[in-house]
Amino acid sequence: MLQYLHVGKKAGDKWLFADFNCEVRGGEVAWLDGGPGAGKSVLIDMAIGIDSPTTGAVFVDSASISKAGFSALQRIRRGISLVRDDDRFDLISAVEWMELGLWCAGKNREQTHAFAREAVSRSGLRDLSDVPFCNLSGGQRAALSLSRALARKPHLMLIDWPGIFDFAFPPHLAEDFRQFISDGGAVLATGKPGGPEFDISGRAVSLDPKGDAQ
Amino acid sequence: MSGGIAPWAVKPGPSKARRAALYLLVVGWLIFGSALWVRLGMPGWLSSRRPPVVLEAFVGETVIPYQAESLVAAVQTQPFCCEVRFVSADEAHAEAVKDDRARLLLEAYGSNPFLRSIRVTLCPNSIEAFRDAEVWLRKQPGITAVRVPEAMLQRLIEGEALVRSSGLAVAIMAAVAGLLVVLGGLSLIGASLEDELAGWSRLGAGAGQLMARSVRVVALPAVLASAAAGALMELVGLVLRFSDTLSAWNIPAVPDWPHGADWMLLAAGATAGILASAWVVFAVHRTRGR
Repeated sequence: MLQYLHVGKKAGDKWLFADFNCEVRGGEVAWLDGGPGAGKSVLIDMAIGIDSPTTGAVFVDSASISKAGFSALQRIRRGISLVRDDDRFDLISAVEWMELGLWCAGKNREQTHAFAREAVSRSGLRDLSDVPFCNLSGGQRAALSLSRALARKPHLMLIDWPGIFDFAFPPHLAEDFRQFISDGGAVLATGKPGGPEFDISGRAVSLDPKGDAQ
Repeated sequence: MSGGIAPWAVKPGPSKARRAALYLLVVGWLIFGSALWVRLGMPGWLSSRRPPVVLEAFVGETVIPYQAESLVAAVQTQPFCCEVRFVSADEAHAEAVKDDRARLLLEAYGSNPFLRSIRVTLCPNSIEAFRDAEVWLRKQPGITAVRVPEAMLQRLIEGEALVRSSGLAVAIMAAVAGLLVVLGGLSLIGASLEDELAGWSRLGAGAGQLMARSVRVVALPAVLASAAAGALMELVGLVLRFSDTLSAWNIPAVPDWPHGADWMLLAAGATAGILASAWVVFAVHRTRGR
C-alpha cells in the first residue's frame, strides 16, 4: 500500500533522516515515533507528493510518487485522505468544506451533496453544517476532518495531527474508523491512534534523527 | 452550496485582496480602453475636423454648355467628390469684385478675365489622395488647368500626421500602462488563488477542476472588469457628446467611443483572464500542490 525505500531527506547541509525504510500494508495501522523536528510531517508530505525525498523513493500502490506525472499523482491522491489541521478553506462552511473534499476525490455533484451531509452528521455536527469552518473548535474540526477522510473512501489515510485521537469523537465515528481498517484500509499517523473510543492496535515506526530509522 | 451548488462555486477566499484586485482590473481596463479610444477614434475625429478642400478645374473656351454639364456629371460619380459646382465666368467675376482691392483691379482691366470652372469639394477621407483627383481632372476633355490649394493641403496633412503620431504614442503608452495595471490585478488574484488551488490539488482535484475554479476566480472578474470599463467609457462618450459644457468652453469635440471597442475590451479581458487562469493552474501543476 505505502512503502518508503531508503528514503533520506536533507534540509540544507543537515540530513533530517537517512535510509528510512517502512511499509504499511492494507488493514494495518502504523504511527511514526520521533521527537519534534524528526521529519514525521515530511514523511507524510512525501506520501502525498507535496515533498520529495533527497534519496530513495516513496511508493503508493506500487507507483512512485516522486516520479508520477501530475495526472497520475492526482489519481493517487484521490485514493488518499490526509488529515491535518492546516486547512486553507476556513472561510467556507462545514458542509462546503466537506463537499469540496469529496468533489476533489472524484465524486459527482449528487453524491457529493448527499455524502457531505451524511458525513457531517456522522461527525456529530449536523447542527453546525452551515457554520464557517473557521468558527469551529479544534475538536469539531478534528471530527469533521476524520469524517471527511473516511467519506472519501480512501485506500490510505495519512494523519498528521498529533493528539487528534485525544478528542472525544462520536462513537460511530470511531466505529467507522475501525471499519475502514478492517476493510483493508491502511493508516500512517504521526501520533498513536488511541483514546477511549479508538481501541486500535498498531505498530510504531521509529524515526531516528541520526538516520538510523527502523 | 448547501442548496446543491457545485463545490467549484464555493465562495472566493481572501475577499479584501480580491476586491482590491477587482478595482485594479477596472482601472487597468479603463486606461487600456482610453488607449483604444485614442487609437480608434483619432482617424474619424481628424477627418471630421478637416476644413473643406476645393479643387478648381478650369473649363476651356470651346466647351459648350452640354459638354460642361456632362463633365459635372462625370465628376459627381468619382469617389473623391463630395460636392461639385459649375461656376460661370460671370459668377467668378461677381465673387471676385466682393473684395475691394480686386474690384479696383478688375475695373481697371475692363473685360471679364475669369474662366469658367468646375469646383470640386473633396470628401474628407479623400484628402490624402488629392493628387489622384487632380490627375483625373486634368485628363478630362475640356479641362485646361486644375488649381490645387497646395500650401493649405501641405499644412493640413503635416499637422494631421503630427497629431496622429502623437496620438499613437499616447495610445501605446496608455495601452502598456493599462496592461501593466491589469497584470498587477491578475497577479494579486492569482497569488491568492494559488494557495487555495494547492489545497485542492492535495485533495486530488484534476486539471479540469483546478481550471474551472481558476476561470471562476481569475478570468470571470477580468472579463467583468473589462465589460464594466467598456460600459463606463460608453457612458462617458455619451455624456461628452450631449454635454453643452464642451461647446460652451469652445473645446473641440471629443471623438465618439469607437464602435467595436467594447468587444475589443471584452476580448482582451477574456484573453488576459484565461491566460492568467491557465498560468495559475500551471503554477500549481509545476509545484505539485506544495
